[in-house]
Amino acid sequence: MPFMDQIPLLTVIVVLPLAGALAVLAAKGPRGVQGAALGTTLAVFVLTLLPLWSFQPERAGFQLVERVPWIPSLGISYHLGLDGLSLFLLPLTGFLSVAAVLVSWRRVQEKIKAYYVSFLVLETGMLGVFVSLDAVLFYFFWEAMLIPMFFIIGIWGGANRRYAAFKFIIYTMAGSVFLLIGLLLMAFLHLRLGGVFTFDMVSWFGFHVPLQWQYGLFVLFFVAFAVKAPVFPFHTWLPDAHVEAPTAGSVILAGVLLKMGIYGILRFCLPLLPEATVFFTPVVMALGVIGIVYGALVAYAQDDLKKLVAYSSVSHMGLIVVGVMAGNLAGMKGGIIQMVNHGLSTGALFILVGAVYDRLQTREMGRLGGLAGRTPVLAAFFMIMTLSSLGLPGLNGFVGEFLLLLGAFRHSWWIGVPAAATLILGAVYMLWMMQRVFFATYRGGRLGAVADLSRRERLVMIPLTLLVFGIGLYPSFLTDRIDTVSRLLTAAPAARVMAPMTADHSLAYHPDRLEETNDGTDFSRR
Amino acid sequence: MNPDCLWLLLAPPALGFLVNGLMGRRLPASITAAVALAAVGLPLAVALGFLLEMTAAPPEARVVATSLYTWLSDGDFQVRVGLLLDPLAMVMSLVVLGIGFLIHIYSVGYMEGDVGYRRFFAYMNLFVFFMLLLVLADNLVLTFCGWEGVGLCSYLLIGFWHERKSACDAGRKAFIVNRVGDFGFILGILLTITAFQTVDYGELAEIAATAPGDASPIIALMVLLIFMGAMGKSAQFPLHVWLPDAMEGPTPVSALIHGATMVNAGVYLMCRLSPLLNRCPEVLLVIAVLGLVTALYAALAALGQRDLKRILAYSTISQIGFMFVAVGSGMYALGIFHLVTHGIFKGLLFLAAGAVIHTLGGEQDLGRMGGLFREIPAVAVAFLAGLLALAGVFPLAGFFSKDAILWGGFQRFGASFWIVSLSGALLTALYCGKLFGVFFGPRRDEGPPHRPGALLIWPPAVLALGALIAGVLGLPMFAQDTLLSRFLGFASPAVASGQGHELEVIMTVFQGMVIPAFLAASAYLFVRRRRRMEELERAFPRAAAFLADGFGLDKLNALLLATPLRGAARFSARIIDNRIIDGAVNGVGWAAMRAGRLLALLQTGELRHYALSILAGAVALLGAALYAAGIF
Repeated sequence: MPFMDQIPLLTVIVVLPLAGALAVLAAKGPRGVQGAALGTTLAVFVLTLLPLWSFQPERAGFQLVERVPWIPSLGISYHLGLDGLSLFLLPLTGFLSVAAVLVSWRRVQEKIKAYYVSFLVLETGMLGVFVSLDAVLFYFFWEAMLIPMFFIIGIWGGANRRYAAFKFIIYTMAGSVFLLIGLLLMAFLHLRLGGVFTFDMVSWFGFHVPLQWQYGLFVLFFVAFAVKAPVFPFHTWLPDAHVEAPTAGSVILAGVLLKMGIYGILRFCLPLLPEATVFFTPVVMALGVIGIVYGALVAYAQDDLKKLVAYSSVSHMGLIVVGVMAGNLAGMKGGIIQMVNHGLSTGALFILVGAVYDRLQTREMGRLGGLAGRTPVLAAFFMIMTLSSLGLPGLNGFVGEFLLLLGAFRHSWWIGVPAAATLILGAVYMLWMMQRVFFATYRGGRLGAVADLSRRERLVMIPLTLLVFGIGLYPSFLTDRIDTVSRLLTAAPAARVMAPMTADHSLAYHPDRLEETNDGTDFSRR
Repeated sequence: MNPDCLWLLLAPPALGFLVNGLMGRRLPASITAAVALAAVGLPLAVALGFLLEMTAAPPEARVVATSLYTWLSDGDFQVRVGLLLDPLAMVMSLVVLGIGFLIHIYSVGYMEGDVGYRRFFAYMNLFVFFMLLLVLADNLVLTFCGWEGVGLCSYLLIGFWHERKSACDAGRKAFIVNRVGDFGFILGILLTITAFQTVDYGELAEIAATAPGDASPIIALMVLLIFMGAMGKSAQFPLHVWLPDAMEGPTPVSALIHGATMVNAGVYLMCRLSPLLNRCPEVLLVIAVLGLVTALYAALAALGQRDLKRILAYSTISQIGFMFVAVGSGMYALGIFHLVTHGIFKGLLFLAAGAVIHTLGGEQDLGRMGGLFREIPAVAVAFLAGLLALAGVFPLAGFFSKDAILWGGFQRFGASFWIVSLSGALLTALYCGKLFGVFFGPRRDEGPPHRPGALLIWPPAVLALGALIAGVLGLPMFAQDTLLSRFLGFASPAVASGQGHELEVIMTVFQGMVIPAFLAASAYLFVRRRRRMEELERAFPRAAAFLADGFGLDKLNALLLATPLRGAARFSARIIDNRIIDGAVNGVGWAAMRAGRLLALLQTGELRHYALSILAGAVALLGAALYAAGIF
């Protein structure tokens, strides 16, 4: 599409929510505010779909690149771009933002202007993180995201919202400190060894970080991103934040914010620090496997519906971490796809949990039950998302799970086997949840009239459901587009394993040199 | 045979599910039923068309295959959505669609007036879709999709009456136990992919034929892991525990899913992998022994059941055990033969049992059933025909398949194996005899019987006819090639056929006499001496309870698996997460705050304090400088 060469599409996408925030401020009356917010998020969503069109899957490196010097003396530029890793995260963010506005429609009545402004600023932050190619810009968006989220939890949250909001902000800020130190170190290293002080990430990719620095940098970056993902044992902010956040906040938190942890690991750790990645892989994978089992166990013990879904995220993120660290194509593709899938199905689950809470004013599963007969449509959607979450073939969750497990198994059977326990444990806690909420009889006393999903709620759920089926039935649409980036990401560490201790820059995250990864023994070709 | 028509087998049930699932509430019940019937009837007609062409074609041209699209690719490795209709898939499809169609008709009557009428038919259609997908898939991953899909439908239909907690528990148990098996299945698939870069059945068969000898252990491990999945789905010991509980579902569901079709999927899968199995005699032995253990165990447990449907459930487990004995003996066609005959007579038994339960207004307790022959003679005749077929009485279908399995086991594994499997067959005759008490002797129910309508009588009657004549597939007797095995055309591992023809005939005659004798004796005891038998049961309450609980395996599971898992979950949540990890996090926060307060103490606002500290600092600095300069 030629016209897209002229329009700075990514800038428009990132800035549009801010413009929408101004429109919200100017709007009159709750209807106007909601209308402005909805219109903005819809427009942004449509724009985030455009790159899917123009994206050239075979091309390595970044596309739709925009670059303007910003603070040249400090090597900072306004540099945006997009590759297979971020390609699907943009429309995911765009879509979930629309959903967030729609599910807040009736629920949020207080300080409505501030609420939607927070959301739109948050959206800018999220989109900015995914397209930034300058580390300072990245850090700016990264931090910019936290503040509106802090307000959303702290102002429109549940009873214990202050504790949760502060825990969220302090915990993630602590992580950000590590990130900031890491980024500054990178820039100084680049000055000392590369001769230029720059925060440009594309320049960083071509630069080989000396071994003795890699390990420290890896720890800094990994801790920063592990808090966000969250990787066990950095996860305890998550259940508190989820339980207290309003529904829309949970949707964004689970759907988009958690993805940034994995995104960061893939953007920084793997390509910049390939030797350290290889060195730390056993540790990180072990944390991932622990996260899978531990998250599932803790989820199984929950009485609070929202906490259960929150802990299920810990389990799912653990599997993603295992897969992307496996160092092979299947695991990497599975991880990138599962980021999208988890965003869709867990986002949807939080919407539905919110719907249950709105109707019965409780999330305590011991006081729920028997809703399937009263609200069949809600129950049906809940069931579909539950099945997606537990990885039923034909739905999206299975695609990611299958590839991730294949990746883990190709790495080594003793990682693959415990990781596959997710198959059993996922069914255990998800079906137990389903039963306690929807089946048998209601245990909360007398049950009055319960409304089924409203038309607005269905409007949100139907596209989500279609996506869940669509990705499940035809995942090639995604896998074909992330093929190149997955090869690059797995090639960098793998090449280091084969040629350790060399200072050969060309083996780093470089588009032109693709190294095939070794995928284990192959009897058929002997 | 046009491969482009294969999707016609799959599309109607999927559409039926969508129509009834999405807009059933706006449709009258009659339309719902018509849609559901058409969704199974149409593919049945298509399948019969394919059958006609297939039988006319020469054996090597009896395969129809089509590839729809590439589902996933990972480098060279690809998973395609491809369908394959060969004689094996043909036979399975006909079982699913033929018996399925009759059960759908039956359900129209059985489920009449139920609030979940449309939901029921939507799920049933969905089941048929997934079952056909499982059968027609041309690779392991697609089979796995159908496999999990039928598991889902089983879960949904066992828990169909979701207000009942017991039904929900049973459904969940079924899903989770199946997932335990599928844990093995998926690991087997992953191993297959890492070892051979393919999941396509045709390519796997080629690899099995050409791979070097050192690949055999990997193939064996692969097949063994996949067999774990088969154990879950086909309810083999010790993963059978879900099937008796699955009887919480509506009876047509028990007939279709938990009697005639889904539970046989494991047998089908093993036959599908027969080229691989042929390479690993150790795995075949494992399968045969496990099948035999299951057959014997479940027959014993069946004998102790007090619920009509649970007897049939244990009987199903036991009979599938016999199928695995056949598979483990390397006689795949025989396994499929028993699958077909069992599908017919077990479907029949469940449908007839449903009619009995309907007659008694929902009663399932055997102790309250008796003398129903006069009330519902048509149902009784069908039921008794099913029992005779199940026990293996000449000339009903079960006779032919069971006789061949016993002989096959003898031939392959020797006399002691034969003795054990024969005892399994005799136990089968015993519990079949027990069910004669339902129809003869004095009445035991109260109140007027609800006579079943025509829809509840004709489907089992048709199946009874099938149970009478299906033995034809196993003709000619005592021959290497029967009608069915010629059609299926399996390659079996070479068996040294030492024993002669005469011995086989003698054994057949022997079995043909001793089994009916046991059946007659048991029927006599449970009809004429029924009170005595019940007194006997009461005299040994613990033994009776032990049998009824299936040797207490559920309690063992709870003790060894469920309770520890729940304990570990609580421990992780309350101690590790709340106290240790979050405690550490909050502890860091608390320590930071404390440190801040301590530092804040320095900031007193008093000028003299500051002056003092400036002085102290200056002195310290001076001292340090002097020290550094080497003065001290």
